[in-house]
Amino acid sequence: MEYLLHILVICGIYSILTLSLNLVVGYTGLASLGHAAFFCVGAYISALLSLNFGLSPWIGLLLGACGAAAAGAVISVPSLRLKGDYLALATFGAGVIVYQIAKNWVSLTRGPMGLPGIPSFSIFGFALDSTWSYLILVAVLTGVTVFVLQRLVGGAYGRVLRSIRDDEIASEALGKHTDKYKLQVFVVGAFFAGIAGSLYAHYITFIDPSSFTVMESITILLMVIFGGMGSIKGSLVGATLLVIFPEMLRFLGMPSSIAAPMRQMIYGLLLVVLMIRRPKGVLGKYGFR
Amino acid sequence: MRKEFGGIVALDALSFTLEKGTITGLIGPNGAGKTTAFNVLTGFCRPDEGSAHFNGTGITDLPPFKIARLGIGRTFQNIRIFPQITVLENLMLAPRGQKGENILPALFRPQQVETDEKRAGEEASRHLETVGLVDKKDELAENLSHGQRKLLELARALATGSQLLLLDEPTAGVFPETRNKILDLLQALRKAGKTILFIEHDMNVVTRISDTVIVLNYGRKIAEGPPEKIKSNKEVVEAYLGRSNATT
Repeated sequence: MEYLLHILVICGIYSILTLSLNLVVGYTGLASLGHAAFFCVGAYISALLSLNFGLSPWIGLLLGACGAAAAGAVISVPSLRLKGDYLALATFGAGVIVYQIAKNWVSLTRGPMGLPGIPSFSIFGFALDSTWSYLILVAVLTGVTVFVLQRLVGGAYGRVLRSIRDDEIASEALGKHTDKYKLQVFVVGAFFAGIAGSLYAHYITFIDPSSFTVMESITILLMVIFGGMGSIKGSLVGATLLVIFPEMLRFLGMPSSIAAPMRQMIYGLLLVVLMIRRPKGVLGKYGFR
Repeated sequence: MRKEFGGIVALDALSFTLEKGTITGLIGPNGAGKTTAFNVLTGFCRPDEGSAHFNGTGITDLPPFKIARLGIGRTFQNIRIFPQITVLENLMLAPRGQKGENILPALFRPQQVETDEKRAGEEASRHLETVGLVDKKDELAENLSHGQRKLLELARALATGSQLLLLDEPTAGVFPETRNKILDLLQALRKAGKTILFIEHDMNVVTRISDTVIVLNYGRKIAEGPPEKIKSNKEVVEAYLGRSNATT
């Protein structure tokens, strides 16, 4: 039971990551391959603030998200000039840079040794260190993410995003300030990824750079594509299925030493199959063009 | 204006004035610089020399979205509609100043956004009726035929409420029936006080609706005047048909 709750918490954290990336990739059509960078920034800022300054994790959550959002603003700059593959490579590079900073700025982040002993959230003095309570926190924040995203993509704003996705030149010719929208979605997407980062840090209570590699960015992107680009439900489904699926390998009697790389192989295989058979994903409305 | 791309002179001392409430045809052989002129006028391309003004405002250095907001609408030679959104939504993107398109109202004023959306939807439907596409309004734009896409792009440009419309080959590749519909539409727009500059290759179309015709060749204006005069202009005929075919 405890195990199931744990899986659900992870599903929730990845749901937030997937939703936030979907805004950038699925709705606006920007090839962002470094989303784990924002996850990383949020996690480290939140962890360091509570470890080094004794600040409440709630403050860490907020400042971590804001720090991630600032990183989003910076990384959005290439998106204003680069298209498609070039943007993919630039964001990929940004992800690598953030990872390398986490790994090598040892005096700040303790590098590969990581940050242990991260305190949990607490409300009115009650520590949220049971999995149940954490699940409620994660569920609430996932709900908030869905709510905010729905407000953005459901109306005229979302329509402009989709127009940028379909034909940026035509969108500009209609008077839409496309640069502004691209910056905004990167910032909002990064903000929520930062929230996920903070949630992750205070839940696992230990973070190190290996959680924020390029592979992590690819995994989140896979969840977006698998669940369906441009679909909020799709992101929830995609994240949940792709978190649960490899866990089921345990029940097939696979030892955990094989299970981890097996998980990555499965993801890789899934990506190939998806591209061939169903690029729109499970619930997706938009394909690649 | 002058515009060079590498060694190629796309526009060479091109200069003209458009009068409000007129339809001007822009013609010339392929590669004469017509679309380049459009790109310069709509901010997608900056001229090396020269300047453009619209209603007294300088537009040469403005980005495309700002020029569009000043009231210049445009269609493209190879049609730029938004394929993966519906026909109705394509139209709903046209009106300027929709509050719901900004992030803060989207987040904090959902009721207002919803009311605006409803109104925008009704207005968009009306525009679709004008071009006869209203029964396709919930189709994805990518499912439309070529002629229907042309109509959609045109309707969208109209729906922006632009004062000046730059139309790049508005009747290319459409059935005669659709072509007539489009031409009637353009004439109605002129009556309503709009100004139109359109690129066209079909001389019949040009003659039928233009008040003035501008002829480009190798980036230079070689003739300008009413359609009848242009048709009998020796240099124009040579440009299209070659020197040995020119009649005296």
